[in-house]
Amino acid sequence: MAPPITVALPLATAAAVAACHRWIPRWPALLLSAGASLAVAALGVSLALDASHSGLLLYWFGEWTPRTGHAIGIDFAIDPTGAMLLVISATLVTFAIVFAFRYFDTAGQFFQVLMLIFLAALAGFSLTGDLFNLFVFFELMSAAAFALCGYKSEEPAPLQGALNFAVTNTIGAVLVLTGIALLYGRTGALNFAQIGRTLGGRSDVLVLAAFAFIVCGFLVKAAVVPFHFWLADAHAVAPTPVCVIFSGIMVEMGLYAVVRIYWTVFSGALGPFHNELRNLLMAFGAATALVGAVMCYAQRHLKRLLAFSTISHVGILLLGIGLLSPEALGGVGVKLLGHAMTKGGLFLAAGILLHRTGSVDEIDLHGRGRHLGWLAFLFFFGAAGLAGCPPFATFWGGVMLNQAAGRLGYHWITWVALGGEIVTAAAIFRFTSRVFLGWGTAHGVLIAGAARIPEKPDTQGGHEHTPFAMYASATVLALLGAAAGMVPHLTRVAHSAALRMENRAAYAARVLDGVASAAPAARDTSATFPDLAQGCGAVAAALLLAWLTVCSPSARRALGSFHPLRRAVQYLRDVHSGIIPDYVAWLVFGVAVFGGVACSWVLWHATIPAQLR
Amino acid sequence: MALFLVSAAVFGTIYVAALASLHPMGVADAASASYGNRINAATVSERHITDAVTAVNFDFRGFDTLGEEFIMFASVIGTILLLRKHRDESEGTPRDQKAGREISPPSDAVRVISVSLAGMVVTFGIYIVTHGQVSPGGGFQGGVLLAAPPLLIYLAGEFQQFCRLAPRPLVEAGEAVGAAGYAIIGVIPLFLHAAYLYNFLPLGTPGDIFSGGTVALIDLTVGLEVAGGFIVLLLAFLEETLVRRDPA
Amino acid sequence: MSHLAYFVAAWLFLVGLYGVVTSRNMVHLIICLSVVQSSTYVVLLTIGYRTGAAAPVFVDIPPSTPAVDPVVQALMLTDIVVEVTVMALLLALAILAHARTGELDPNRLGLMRG
Repeated sequence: MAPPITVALPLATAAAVAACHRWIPRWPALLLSAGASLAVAALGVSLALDASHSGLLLYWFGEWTPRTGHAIGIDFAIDPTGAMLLVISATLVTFAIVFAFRYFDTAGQFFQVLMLIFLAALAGFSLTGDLFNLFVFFELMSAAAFALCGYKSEEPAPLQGALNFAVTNTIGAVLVLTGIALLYGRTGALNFAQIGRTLGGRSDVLVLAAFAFIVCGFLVKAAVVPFHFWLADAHAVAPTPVCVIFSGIMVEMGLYAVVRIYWTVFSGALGPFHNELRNLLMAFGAATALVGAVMCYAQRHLKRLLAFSTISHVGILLLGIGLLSPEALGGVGVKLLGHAMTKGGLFLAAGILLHRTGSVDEIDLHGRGRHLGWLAFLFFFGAAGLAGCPPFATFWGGVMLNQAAGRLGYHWITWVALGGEIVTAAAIFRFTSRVFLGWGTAHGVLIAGAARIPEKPDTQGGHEHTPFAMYASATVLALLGAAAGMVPHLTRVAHSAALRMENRAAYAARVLDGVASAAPAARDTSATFPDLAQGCGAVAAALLLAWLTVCSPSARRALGSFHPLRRAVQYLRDVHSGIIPDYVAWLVFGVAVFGGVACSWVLWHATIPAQLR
Repeated sequence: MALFLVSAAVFGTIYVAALASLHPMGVADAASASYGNRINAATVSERHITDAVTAVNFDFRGFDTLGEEFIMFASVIGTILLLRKHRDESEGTPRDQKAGREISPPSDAVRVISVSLAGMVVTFGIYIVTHGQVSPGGGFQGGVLLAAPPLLIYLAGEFQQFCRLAPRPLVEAGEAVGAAGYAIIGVIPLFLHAAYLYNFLPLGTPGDIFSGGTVALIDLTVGLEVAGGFIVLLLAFLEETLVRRDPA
Repeated sequence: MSHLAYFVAAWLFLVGLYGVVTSRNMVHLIICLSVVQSSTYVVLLTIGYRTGAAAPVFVDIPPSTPAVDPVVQALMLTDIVVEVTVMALLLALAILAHARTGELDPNRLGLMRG
C-alpha cells in the first residue's frame, strides 16, 4: 500500500466524521476513527519492515521525480527510524481514542476529528523528505494540539494553558520558517538531500544562523530549557488522552526534526565544528535534564509532575543526540520508544485517578487512593520504567548511551542522566506513597509552593468504578514499555537505523540519483553486570529518596533547612510564572545563546589560524 | 525586561548578519534561482497551466497545500470546539453584550451598499476560484472572497439573515466535504497505478478555464473549504459574542 | 541599499517580539504575533524577486519570459491563510479567557505559577 495513505486516510476520515457529526451516533464514529488509526499503525509496521530491508523507501508525489539531480516535487523518504516513529504515533493515538470514548459531552465527534488530524500530521512529519513539507506538518500538528489543549474551555485554566502553549509554539514555528527562508535564499532548494548537497562543506554566518533558528524553533516544540515553559502549563490542563500524545510523541518529534535536519542538511557544512556542536547540544541537554528533574520533584499536581519528568527525559535524549555518534543515536531511539509507552501508560493511569477521585493533586488526595490497588501498581510499574529498570526499553537505551558516552570520553553524561531518572522516578514514587498508601503527612516540604490547579474531571458520570477500556488501555500501554525492551536484537536494529540516518551522502545519492547503498553493519549491545546494577540501583535509589522525603522526619528537617536548595527551588518557581511575556523573553534568550555560540564558531575559525586552535 | 533587550539585540545582530550575506534584492545567483526557473519553464509546457503560482501550489507541491488546507480545517474545527455552547450556558436573541449600551442601527447608506456589493463579490469570488490556473487567483484567494458576502449582510444589520443565508450545518458540512475532496482527488491516481496527487485528468489548452487537469477541480474543492471555513468562523464568533449568555 | 528589504524583515521580527513581551492586552499580543509572522513573508518575497522580470503568469506573455520566483509566492500564499486561521484560534482562546476570568492582561493571567 502506498505511503501517502498514512496521511490521506486519517485526513479523509477526519473530514468525513466532521461532515456527518450531527447525524451519526457515537459508536460508529469511534470505530471509524480507531479503525483508521489502527490501519495507519499496521501500514507503518509494513513500511518499517520494508525500509529495514531495502534501505530508504522513496515516494515522489505527483510523479515529479528529480530532473538532472534536482528535486522539483515533494518526496517521502522513509527510513526505519521514521517508520518506527509513525508506528509509535499511531499506537498512542489509537489508545488515546479508545480511552477517551467517554469524553464527549457537548463536543460531539470533534475530539476524534482533531486526533485524526494530529495523527496525519505526525505521520507526514516522520516520513517526509522535504523541508517545507516538514514545516507544514509541524504547523498542522500545532494547530490540532492548541485546540485539543484548550478542550475544556468552560474553565479558565485550560484557556491559559492553551494560550501559553500556542504563543510560544507559534514563535517557534516562525523561527523555523525564517531559517527555511534563509536556506532557500542560499541554495534554492527545499528538499533535504538537495540542500545538503548544495551547501557542500562550506559554512558562513548565514548557514549557522539558519541552523540556529531551525534548531531552536524545533527545540521549542521539544521543550528544551529555556524553551520549555509551555509544556507543564499545557499538560496540566489538557485532557488526559491528549497528554499521552503530547508527552509520548509530539515533544520527541521536535528532537527527531533536529536530528534529521542536522544529519541530512547540515552535517557536511558543519563538519569543522563537530566538537563545538557536541558541547553546545550537550550543555542544553544537561540543563534541561537537571531543571526538569528539580521542578518535577517540586510539583504537587500529578500531570504537571509528569510533564516536568518528560522535560527531564527530553534533556537526557538531547544529551544522547549531542554525542553525534551512531550508537548514542540508537540508544536515544530505544529510550524514546520505552519512554513513549511508559509515559503514555502513566498518563492514562493519571486519567483513571482523575476519573475516580476528581483530582490529581498530591496534597488533596492524601490517603484517598487506598482502595485503588491496581492503579497503585501501575504507577509503581511506570515509575520503575522511567528509572531505567531492566527489562524496560529505557534500560537498553541507557546502556547504549552509556557505552557510547564512555567510548567518546564523556562519562559525566551517565551521571546526569542517572540523576534525572532517579529524581523523576522518585517523584512518582512519592506521589504514589502519599496517595495510595497514605504515608507521611499531608504537608510537603518541597511542594508547598507548587501550582495548585483546580480541575473538573474529563469524564462524565460513573465515578464509582472505572470502565474496563480505561484500565485495559493503561495496563497494556505500560506493559508495552517493558515488552519493547524484550524484543530480540532491538539494539542492533536501532544501531543500524541510526547508522543509516547519519549517512548524508548515501541519503542524497538515493533521493536525487536513485542509487541504493548497502545495509550498514550494525551490532548488538550487550548489558554488562555494571549496567544491570545501575538499572536496578536507580530504582532502589528512587525508592529511597521518596521514602526519605515522605517518612523520615530528620530527612525532611534537613531538606527544609538546606537554604541553597530552597532558594534554588523558589527561584525556579518564580521563573515559571505562567506569564506569556516572560516565556517569550526566555525564548529569545535561548535563541540568542544558541545562535551567538554557533556564529562565534565561524568567527573563531576565520580569525584564528588552524595551528593556534 | 533587560534580559529580553539584550537577547533581542544579539538575535537581531545574528539575523541581520545572515541576511546581509544573502544575494542582493532582484539579482539572484544561479543556485538560488534554479528551483523557480525550472518551475517557470515546466508549468506551461508540461501542465498547460499559465499561472505558475497555482501550478506550484496544486501540482508541483500539491501535497504541501493539502497540509495547509487541513491546517485551516483543524483551526476552524478547533475554534468551533472552543466556542461551543456548554451545558450551563443558554442562548438568547442577538444583542450587543454590554447591557445598557446604545448602538444606533446601521445607516441606510451602509445597508444599500452592503447588499448591492454582496452580489458582486459573490460573482467576483467565483471568478477568482475558477480561474486559478489561468490568471492570478485560485481556491484560497477566491474562497476568502466568497466568505465576505455573508459578512456584508451582517454589517447591514441583519444577523438573522446572515444565519439564514449560511445555515450552520450546511456550511460545516460543505467545509468538510471540500477538505475531504482534496484528499480524495489525490487518492484516485493511486488506483491508476500513479503516485498520489498525480495530475491524471486531461490537461486542456493553456489559458482555457478547463486547463491544468486536476488543478481546476482542486481549485473548486479548496474554494469550498476556505469559504466554508471562514463563514463558520464568523458564525462561531458572532454567536459567542451576540447570542451566548453566561450562567446567571 | 540592495539589502534594505531584508533589514525591514528583521526589524518587523524584532518589533513584533518587543510587542509580545511588553504587551498589556491579549488581543494586542496576538496581533503582534502576526507582525512577527509577516517578517517571514517579506524575506521570502524579497528572495524571489528579480529586477525587470514579469509576474509568473504566462497567459498574455510567452512562457519563456523571465519571471520572478513562483515558489516563494506559493509558499507565502498558503501561509497567509494558515496564519489567519491560527490567529482566529488564538483570538477565540483570548475571548474565552476574558469571559471566564474577566482579565485580558497577559501579566495577570498567571494561574500556572510554579
